Formats: sequence, structure tokens, C-alpha cells
Amino acid sequence: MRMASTRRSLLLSAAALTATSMLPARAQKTGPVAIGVITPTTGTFAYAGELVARGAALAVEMHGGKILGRDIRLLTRDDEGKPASGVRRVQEAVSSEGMRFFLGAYSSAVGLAESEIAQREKVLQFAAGGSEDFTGSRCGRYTLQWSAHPYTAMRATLDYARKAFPQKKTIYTLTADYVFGQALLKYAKVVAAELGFELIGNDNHPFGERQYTQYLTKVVAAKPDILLLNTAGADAVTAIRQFSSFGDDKTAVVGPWTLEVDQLAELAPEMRTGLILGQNYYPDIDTPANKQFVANYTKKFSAPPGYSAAYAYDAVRAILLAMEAANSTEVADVIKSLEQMSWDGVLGKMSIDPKNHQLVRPYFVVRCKTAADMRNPTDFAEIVATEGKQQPAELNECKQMPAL
Amino acid sequence: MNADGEPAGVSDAGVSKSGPHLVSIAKVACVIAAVAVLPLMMPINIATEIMIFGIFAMATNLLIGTAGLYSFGQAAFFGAGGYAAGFLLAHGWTSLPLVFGFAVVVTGLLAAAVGLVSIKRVGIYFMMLTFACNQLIYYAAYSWRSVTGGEDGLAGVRRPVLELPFVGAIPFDDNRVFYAFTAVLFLVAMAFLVRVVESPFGLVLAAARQNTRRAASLGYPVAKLQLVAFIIAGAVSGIAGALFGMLYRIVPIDSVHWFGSAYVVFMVVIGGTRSMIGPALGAFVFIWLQGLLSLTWSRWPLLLGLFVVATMIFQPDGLLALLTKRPAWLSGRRERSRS
Amino acid sequence: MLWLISAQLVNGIAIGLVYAVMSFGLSIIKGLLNVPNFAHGALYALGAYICYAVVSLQLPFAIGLAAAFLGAAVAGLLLDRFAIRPVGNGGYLPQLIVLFGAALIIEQLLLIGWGTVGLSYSPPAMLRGALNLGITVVPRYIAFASVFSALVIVLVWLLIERTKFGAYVRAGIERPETTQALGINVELLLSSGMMLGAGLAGLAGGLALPIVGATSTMGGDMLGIAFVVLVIGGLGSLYGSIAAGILVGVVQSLTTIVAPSASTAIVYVLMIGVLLFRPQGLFGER
Repeated sequence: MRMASTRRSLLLSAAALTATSMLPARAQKTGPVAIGVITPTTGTFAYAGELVARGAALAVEMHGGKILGRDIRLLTRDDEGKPASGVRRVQEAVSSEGMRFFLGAYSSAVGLAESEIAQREKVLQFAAGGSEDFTGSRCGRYTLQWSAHPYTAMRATLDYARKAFPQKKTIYTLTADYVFGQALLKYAKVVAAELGFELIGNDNHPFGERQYTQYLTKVVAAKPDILLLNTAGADAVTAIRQFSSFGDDKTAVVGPWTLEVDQLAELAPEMRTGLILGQNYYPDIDTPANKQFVANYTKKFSAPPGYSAAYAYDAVRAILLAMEAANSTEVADVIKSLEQMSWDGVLGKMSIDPKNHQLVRPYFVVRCKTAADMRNPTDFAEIVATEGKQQPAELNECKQMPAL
Repeated sequence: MNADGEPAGVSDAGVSKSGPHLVSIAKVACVIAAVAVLPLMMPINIATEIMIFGIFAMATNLLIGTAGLYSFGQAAFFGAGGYAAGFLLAHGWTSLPLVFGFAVVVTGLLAAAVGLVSIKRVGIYFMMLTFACNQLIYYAAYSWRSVTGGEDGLAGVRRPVLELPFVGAIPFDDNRVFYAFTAVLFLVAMAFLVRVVESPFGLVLAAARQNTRRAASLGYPVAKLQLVAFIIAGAVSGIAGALFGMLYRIVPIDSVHWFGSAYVVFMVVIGGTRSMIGPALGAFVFIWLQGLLSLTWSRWPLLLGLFVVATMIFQPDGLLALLTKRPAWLSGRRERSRS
Repeated sequence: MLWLISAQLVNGIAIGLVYAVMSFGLSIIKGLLNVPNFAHGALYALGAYICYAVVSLQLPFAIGLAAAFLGAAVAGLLLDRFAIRPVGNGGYLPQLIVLFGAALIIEQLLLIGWGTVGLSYSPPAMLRGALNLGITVVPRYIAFASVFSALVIVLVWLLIERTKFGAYVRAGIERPETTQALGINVELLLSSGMMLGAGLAGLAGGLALPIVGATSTMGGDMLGIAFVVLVIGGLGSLYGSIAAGILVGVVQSLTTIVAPSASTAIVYVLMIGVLLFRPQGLFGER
């Protein structure tokens, strides 16, 4: 009796599952083209997920919702900011929704994990994130990197610092103790030597640290001209907040890749004032494509776009342009077309370096405004420099791009 | 193996030995049928994950349900198994017995070390010690980049090859073959763990769960047996972790994060601790529900939290009991008192 | 070198006092209700958000702190009524899971209420800038937070040791079975214990707002530390967590001199070390 009821319940739940899960298998030549948007809507990067989805949706909308006569279908999935969830969602969408193109992810640890699936399943991944491994030691033919290279970021930011503060000499670095932070530190050493800065001290802090006063006490005692933050996201927000509580206004705070415009609102205006920050994107960028993007985005969502939205918009737009150029929605054709293409993107003239799949693009340096100078609540900063020096080829670890 | 909601251990073994043979056969058939049907209902990688986390949850249930050891650090062994197997597979050693053997040895030793530190402590102390060891192993994995890849994960993991005499080499590159392989391991793990629970060893563990002092005063080396159970659970979790690394060909850093430890305890308790089917059901519900809820609303963890709270309040014996008998709140005899 | 050690010592004590407030609350809840409050981190986050909501209405920071305490206390009462009591005497495991689920719910509610972008608040003008102590500089707000934490701890100590309510609390912790026989309303006592403990978590969150801001995940960071402090102090000891909190803060801070990247892992090493030599914690009995 009991077993019968167990079996019945099992069958019932099986039926329920079949109803809710998806049955269609491989991509067809005629159905809609599925583009995945695999981003975090929960977890540490929860703020980014919805913004990425907005950018992608706008790109599809402005393209008329169709590509080569086929509908475009966006698949939005939550990667929770966790690599294990990211690969789960990507693999699932590939095998049961016929997804052949996707944006992923916002966090580079997640993106690098997804890249393994992308190479294996031969699907195109347009990634964003800070890790240089995307286009270095773990480069792959099916993965493209939208964000700037850490070298480009460091170079642009310190070039500006050199120009803006000719009298400043000494730099103290605070570095997140994981691959991304250490990569920034490596390039800080390279660039600082060229520009005549002296690195007088460095402290590594563990990822996710919430107490920075113990490091900052050392910084304040060392009296450097510049505090260089090789750390990002929530860690950087906390460090800047706590540094501002020391009231030390002789030390300039410079962050090459520290806070994107999306996260600037996390700091109170008096904490941000005077910060010099490198940016992958800033809404004031003066290009025709960006002006059109900002206007449409602001109209649709009543808020200016940030890095997350711009990445998604521009990456989807580039994929669609490449499909048109290739007159094909086959992954191999689209990748070849992207490798040769040059287009007017939101950041300016853009192309993909075929040797390592790094987006060749400018990087932006902004200086944060005082509360009094802000024209509206999202007028955080002004762009003070634009520069796009690519990583020197001899420092790149991408050996060879495999055949498609 | 008993789906009737009797406590595992003493009475459990009694029932299945004296009970009609047919019932056991029907249960086995049911489990096998469920495992066979699963990949038809959902994407194959999700079905494979359910098998993998099923193994992980069943191993954890040996501690929670049978031995009464509330470990909060099992992800350490899951992750370590993934790293151990993944390291060999990423460096060209693809022999299946070698890879799993290495994962079992590494996680067994690690579990022995953690067990030695924590097994004699009870209650929250035990939970906290296993949790702390989990944290330390996480930081070790995070910092030991040359082996684990740090926060970017151990990439380049290949799937092993099974060399069989007369048959030849069986590769697992096809996801369906890999599912079949995982499912077989799942069934083997279930059979093995049920045997362990029903063995005299399991009976002593269960007796010690109910009354440690009495079991000890009867002359059983309780702490030693609990340590052995901890090592078994760790090694089986290591196998699950190894499979996880092979599934996505990467061992991500979060496979060793303590969230994994918390989630596996969720799976066990939500499914039901009184048999090995419960945790497997818990793994199924948990993974499936996460996928379903995350499609509905960007604040979906709230729904997951509500589900967890409601399950614990209305179905404290786990969801398996819901399938097999009328829930307590329907029968109207509820006893509630506070300790 | 000497100045560096003393500077880190000062900093460690300051941070440790905030840990102590947090763990003191945990200790009261564990002692009185025998519940490991896994929602303590979420209550801490709730306190930070409530404090932010109050100060962004241009109300004084002091009111923000009071509201953080009260708001978290009310949340604690709700947890007691709708999560802890319904699972009854099932033991640690159901309590733990139900509180974990409740923590998920609270964190998501914070995101719904205040958005996914974290929040910042600068302390009142008189608490900005740094104090020069000669050997080192300390941000004024950090100094204030530690003095304030110490005051809160003393106040709660007085409440427990010198009032009738406190006598009941002590009786409830030391002899739970006889408390009922004495004609004390145990339900009420347990609820107020939960409120007091939860309120302290909220207060710690409000106090931490100018230092770490308000984010939905801030509770998870703090929860591990709070439990480590509780266990090092000893579960049987109500006040052990205060000394243990300061100890953990100081050890963490001193570690940054020699091995900064190990400063998170060190607290777990410390805990395992303490429990190996004193299984009942530093101040626990038995």
C-alpha cells in the first residue's frame, strides 16, 4: 500500500516536472536565435544582474528584435555570483534551450569557469570581468573579453596621475590577495617604474575583508603621496569609506580598476570627493553610439546606464553586427567575423585582437566631484583622461588560439 | 533503507530483515526507475548534479541521521575530493581507479584529521569545529593557487577513462554516458551506505546517537566508531566532489565553501534523515527548486527561505514522510514544548 | 615596530568591542533559549539598514542607533514566535535550519526595501577625522564606537546583575527547570531574552554602519566571527564572549603586521587551538 502511494507520488511529481522543465532540444535553423544573459541577480554582485539584462534587452530592441529574419530570444539566468551556479546554468541552457551565444559573467571567477563550457560546447561567450586570464593563460577561441585589460587600466590611470600631480612621488599600495589584485600590483610595478613613481609599501588584504583600519593605520603613518587601491568591488568601497574616516586629505586616493560607475552611489559624496578612478565605461563618453545608447536607455529606464548595462548593450550589439556581416548565425562564422570586424561601439572605434580575443578599446579616468559640483544625484565625476594602451605582447600569456 | 519514517539504525534493520522481502524489492525497483527516468525530465547536467549531490547528501546523512553528528563542514571533503581527482585529471592521469582511489585516500585522510580534532566535542562545539576546519580548508584552497587555481578554480579537468578487460576503454565524454556512470555510482553509494547503517557498526552509532553514555558503558569504543563514520562520510563526499569536477571539467572554489556544507545539511533534513532515500529526495527537491525559483523572481532566495521554514515547521520529519504518511499537522496530535 | 604593535593593539581592541556586543547578544540567546541564532548576522544587517533609514530622514544618529536596537529586537520577537517556537524541542538542527531560512528571507527583504546597491553613511561631523594618540592615530568614529560598545556592555551587565529581570534571566540560564516552579512567566522571559539578544545584534549593525556601510551580505561576514567568539568564550559563560571578542579583534589586528592575508583565517586557527586545550572554551565551566 505504502509503496504504491510512493510510486504514485513519484509519478505525479515526474509529471509536474515535465510540465515545468523544457523539452526542445538542439538549435534549429529557423527558430529564434537564443542569446543567454547569465549574470548575478543574487549574492555579492546582486546589483549587476538586472542592469546587464536591461542593456541586453535594449540592444535587441534597438535592433528591431530580429536578426537575419529570425527572432532574437534572450535567456536570462541567475549565476548567483558563484562559479558552480554559472556553469550549471550555462550547460543547462546549451543542452536544452539551444543557446549558442551568451554574455557571462560579471565576476571573472564565474566567467572563467563558464569559459570551460564555452570551449567544450563550442558556444560563443562574450565575457566581462577583471581577470587577465580571459585573454592570457586561459584564453580560448570561443571566449571574448569586453572589459579592458588590467594593464590598460593601470597604464591609463597612472599616466593621468603623473600628468595631474607632477610633484607627487611616493605610492603605497593596498592589494586584494587574489589573482586580480596581484595582477594589478604586477602592472603597477611595471608602470610606476616607467613613470618615476616610487612604491614605498604594499599591504595584501584577504578577499572579503571588512576591517581596513589596521592596514590604513600603516598607510597614514607612511605618509605616501598616493594610495593606490589594487582592490575592487565591496572591498574597495569599504576601504575607501574607512580611509575617509581618517580625514587624511594630503594623500590622493587612486583606483585603476576599483569602482565602476554602477557602484559609485555606494559611497557618500564626501567619501568620493577627489577620488581618481579608472572606468571601463562612463555615461559621459562622447561618441555617437554612446549618445544614442544613453538617450534610449535613460528614456526607457529613467536612469543613466552604467558599466553593466553598457557591457551587455555593446556586446549584444557587436554579436548582432557580426551575424549580419557574416550573414550567418553559426558560431564559427560569427567568431571569424568578430575577429576581423571593426565597429563604432559605445566606447569609440572598437575591434577584437584576434591573437587573444581582447577587445581593443579605450579606458577612461574620472575624478569624482564634490557634492556641491554635482548637477544631479548621478553626476558623480568628470572624465579627465581617455587612453587605450594595450598590454605589451611580450607580457601576454595566450599562447595560441586553437582552430574553431 | 526504509522509507516508512522509522528511525534509522536499530529498528530500521529489524524491519527490513523481518519485513516482507517484496517490499524491499519494490523499493529498489522504485529507486532504479526514478534514476532511469530522471534524465528524461530535465537537462542532463541537472540530473547528473542531482545524482552527485544525492551521493553527497547520503554520505552526510550517515553523520546526521545515523550517528547524530551535526557536521557543518562537509563541503571541505566534497571540494577536496574534487581538487584531488581534478588535479590528476588536469595533469594527464585519466585512469578511473587511480583517480577515484586518490580522491578517496585524500579525503579520507583529511576527514581523519578533522575528525580527530572535533569528534569528542558535542553539540555546537562539534558544529563549530567542523565549520572552522571547513573555513581553514577553504582558505588553504584559496591560497594554494598552483594546485587549486585559487578563486578562478581548477580548470582543464578531463573525464576519466574506464579500462575494462575484453570490453576496452570506455570514455565518458558523452554527457549521457557520464550520467549513467554517475547514476551507477549513486546506486552503489546508496547500497553501501544502507549496508553500513544496518551493520552492527551502524547500530552502535545509532545507539550512541540516542544515548552516548549508555553505548559507551556497554563497552563500545564510541569515539573510535564515530571517527570511522566521519572518515567514511568524508571519503564518499570526496567521490561526489570528484564527479562534480568531471561534470563541468572545472573544480570551482565554491565547491569547498561552507555554503555547500549548509546546503547539504538542508538537503538531508528537508528530505528526511531516517533513511537514505530522504537525503536523495532532498538533493532532488533542492536543486530542482533552485532552478525553478530562480526563473520566477530575482529575489528568489526569499521563496527558498520560506520553503525551508515551512518545511521545518509543518514537516519536521522531512518531505519523504509527506510521501509515505499523513503529516503530523493533519492528524491533529501535535506536541509542542520548549526546551 | 613598537608603535606599529601598539597601534594595532588599539585598533584591535576597538574592533573587538564591536564583536563583543554582537557575540554578547548571541550568548544571551544561546544561554536563555538554548538556540544557536543563525539569523544573528541578518539581524546585524537589519540594524544597519534601519539606522540608515532613520538618519536619511535627517534624524540624529543616536535615534538611528536606538531604532536599530528596537527594530532588531522586534524582529527577534517575530523570529521567536514564528520560527523558533513552531519547531519546538526538535533540537539544534531544525532550529538552525529554520533560522537559516529566516536569515535568507530577512536579507532578501532588505534588498527589496533598499535596493541591491550598498549604502554609506558618514558619521556626524563631531565624529569625523582622526584622534592623535601620540603612538598612533585612530579615527574618531572608531574610538567612539569602542567606548560606546563598552558602555552598552556595562549597561547590559548591570541589567543582568542588578535588576529583578536580570535575576530571572540568570535563573533561567542556570536552572531552567526550577525557573518555572518559581512562578516566573517563562514564555515572557524567553521572549525578552531573544529581544535583548537580537537588539544587541541590531545595535552592533547600526554602530558598524559608518564603518562598513549597509549591504545585504554583511551579516554573513559577521556571523562566522560572532560564533567563533561565542565558542572561544565558552557556551556556558555569559560574559566569556566579551573577553573573547576583544581577544579575537586584537589577534586579527596583530596578524596584519606579519601576515595580512591570513588575518581572516587566523580566527579559526585560534578557535581550534583554544578548543583543543580547553574544550569548554576559555571561560566555560565543566
